[in-house]
Amino acid sequence: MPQRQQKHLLPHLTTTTAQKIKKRQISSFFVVASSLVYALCAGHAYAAEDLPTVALLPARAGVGSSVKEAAGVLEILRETIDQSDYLLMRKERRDDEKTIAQCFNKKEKQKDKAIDAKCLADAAFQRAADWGSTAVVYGDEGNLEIYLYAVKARDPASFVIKHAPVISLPVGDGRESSEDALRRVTDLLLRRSFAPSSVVGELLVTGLPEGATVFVDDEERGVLPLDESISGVLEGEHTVRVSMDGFWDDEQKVQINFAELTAFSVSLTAKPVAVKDGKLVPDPSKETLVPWGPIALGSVGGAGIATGLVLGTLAALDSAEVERRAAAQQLFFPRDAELVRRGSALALGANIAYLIGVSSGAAAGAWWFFTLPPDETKP
Amino acid sequence: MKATQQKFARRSYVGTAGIFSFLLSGACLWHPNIEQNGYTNCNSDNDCAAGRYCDVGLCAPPPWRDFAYGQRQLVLVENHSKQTMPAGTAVPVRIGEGGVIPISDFGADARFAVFNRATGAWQDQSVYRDLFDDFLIAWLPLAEDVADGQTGTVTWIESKHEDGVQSITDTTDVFTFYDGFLPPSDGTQTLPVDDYRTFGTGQVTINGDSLIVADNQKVVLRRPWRGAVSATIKGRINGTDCDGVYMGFIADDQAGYAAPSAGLFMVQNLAAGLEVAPHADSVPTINSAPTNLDTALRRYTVEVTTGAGGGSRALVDDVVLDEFIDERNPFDDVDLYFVIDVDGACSLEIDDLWVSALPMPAPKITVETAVPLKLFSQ
Repeated sequence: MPQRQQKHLLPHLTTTTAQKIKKRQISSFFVVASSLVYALCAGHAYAAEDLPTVALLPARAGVGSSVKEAAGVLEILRETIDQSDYLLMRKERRDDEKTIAQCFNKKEKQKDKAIDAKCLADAAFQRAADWGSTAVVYGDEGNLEIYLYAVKARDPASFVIKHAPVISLPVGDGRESSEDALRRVTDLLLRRSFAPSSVVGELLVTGLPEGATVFVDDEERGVLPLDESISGVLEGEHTVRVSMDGFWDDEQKVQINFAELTAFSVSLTAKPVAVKDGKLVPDPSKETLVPWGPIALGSVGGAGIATGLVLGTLAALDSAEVERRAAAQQLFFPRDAELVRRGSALALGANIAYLIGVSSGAAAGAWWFFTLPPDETKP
Repeated sequence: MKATQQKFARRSYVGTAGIFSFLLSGACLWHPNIEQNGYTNCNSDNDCAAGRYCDVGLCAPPPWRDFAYGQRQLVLVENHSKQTMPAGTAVPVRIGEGGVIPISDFGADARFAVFNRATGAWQDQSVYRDLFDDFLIAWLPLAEDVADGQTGTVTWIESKHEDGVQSITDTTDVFTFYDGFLPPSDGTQTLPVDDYRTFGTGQVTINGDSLIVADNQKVVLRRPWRGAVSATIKGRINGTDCDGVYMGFIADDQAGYAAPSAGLFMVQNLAAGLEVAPHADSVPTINSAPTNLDTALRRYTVEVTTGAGGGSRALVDDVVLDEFIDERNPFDDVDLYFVIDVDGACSLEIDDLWVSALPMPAPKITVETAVPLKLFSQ
């Protein structure tokens, strides 16, 4: 059976911004430098001018959350964008707070309507950004719930909302790990919102026999043993099939998670073989699990019996009519000759059909019984 | 172990399917339950009972002739003699009191028909109805031979016509010989010499529509019969002191008497019996004690069958007066002539005379259950 394991691949970001949860200030120099370093290290192929731009408006504190917590989330969002290779951020403006205050529907309790999409789209346009975005942070006894809102400039219809999982925010010593969690979450939210194609994970397929071909969603991705894991697999469920002549295929559904390595181990089962001309060749009689021969013969049998049923029913009806007329002493010929001949012919046809049907059915059953391997031999 | 269980599970499915299919196939064999209604399997008409014909491998009655008639009934004759009853033999079917068919089932709209197997067509059948107060005897000619010991079709009686039409006309051609003694068209009062020889004193005369045979007169039918013959006189005896009257068959049409013979002989005062002389050298003898007759209008019948199994019989109004049947001593197989000889103080007034080839013993008439018409669509 395939074995799957998952582990996080995203390296921990530096935690120099722990205090930024409490403070909104951040060094623009540090942001630019960090972004450059990250881009160079990642070796991304995008030129800066090709990346989409976003006007990230201040995050708002929703029910159960504090302004400080919202500011901290905003800070991490900015850092994540700065360090990303898929998004550029427009510079903050003085009226950002005022703008987001206008776009924020304070009285709206439904979280998907907390932000006015048109207002946010206009704000993005005014800031010459491709996207306008903000976040609303909700809280509940030490847990954070982040809603990231994004909309294309002057296109309210493009409004998207990405909801992050609830993140626990333990106090004291656990704060560092919660910051790491926040970084992963914000990165995932941003990728899902602005660069869905970058939400990928890796798949590692191991197992036997060597030489088996690995397919992911019917696309050939290598031959066992794989030199390395298969990268760039989009987040979500995929079909992994491992195939090789002389073996039963193995096909499984695999869940790929963002920035995680999913391991998949297989061991194919060999098909039965026969000896022909001194060589081992696949045994044709056991090559497939689908018993097409018995099925075809059984179908003939079924058709024969069905035909017999129809003809027999018609013959029985004619027989009943003949009996009715005979009981009245009014079965006359030649008037009723056709009735008798037809009934007789139908009965004969029915019996022939039954004979064929039963014979074929019995032969199919025998074929099935004596030629198919028992279930234990199946993979 | 698991594989074995699976195989046995498959085997049980196959077996169940096989049994099911076998039952189904057995249920659909062509065997309509019609033998009990007379529709037996056959290869030819000879395999079928009288009145049925072999078609499509089944013995079936002939098709309905006319849907205007709501009922039909098959009349059969069983030949118990040792001679074949040839086609044309007039067979009496008694209808009404003492008959095989209640008079209530024989309406005025009834008719007789026979089916011609060769042509597949129906035809009306000749009939002569001998009428009585509470019954009638329909004389019908056989359409085909009925061998000894066999049963044949006499007729199909069709009745319950939707419009109640009457269609029967009595004809006398059903008999081998018939004479109603109607006055000759030429005004003569004598019998035609082509048919009769007359002997004795004076002319035998026809009075009205009756033949009068007086004392010392004798009438002989010139036509000979051999084998089975039945002659019936419908008439009355005039005179209470009547003897020496003979109605029967003798072996010569010109001699005064010649054995073998058999006939009804009045010995004295209307006392009569069956007088029989089965061989040429036999002395005519009254078979049993004479029975007194009367002077009412009666039907007097004398039957003789020569050869093996033959004998003679005398009947009055269809009731056997006396009969002589001796298997060991049958009648000589010679030509016989019917003779009426009056030698006493009386005369015979005869309205009708008919002769048929009915054998002895008399055939038995049976009828099948009347079949009401049901219109089945094809």
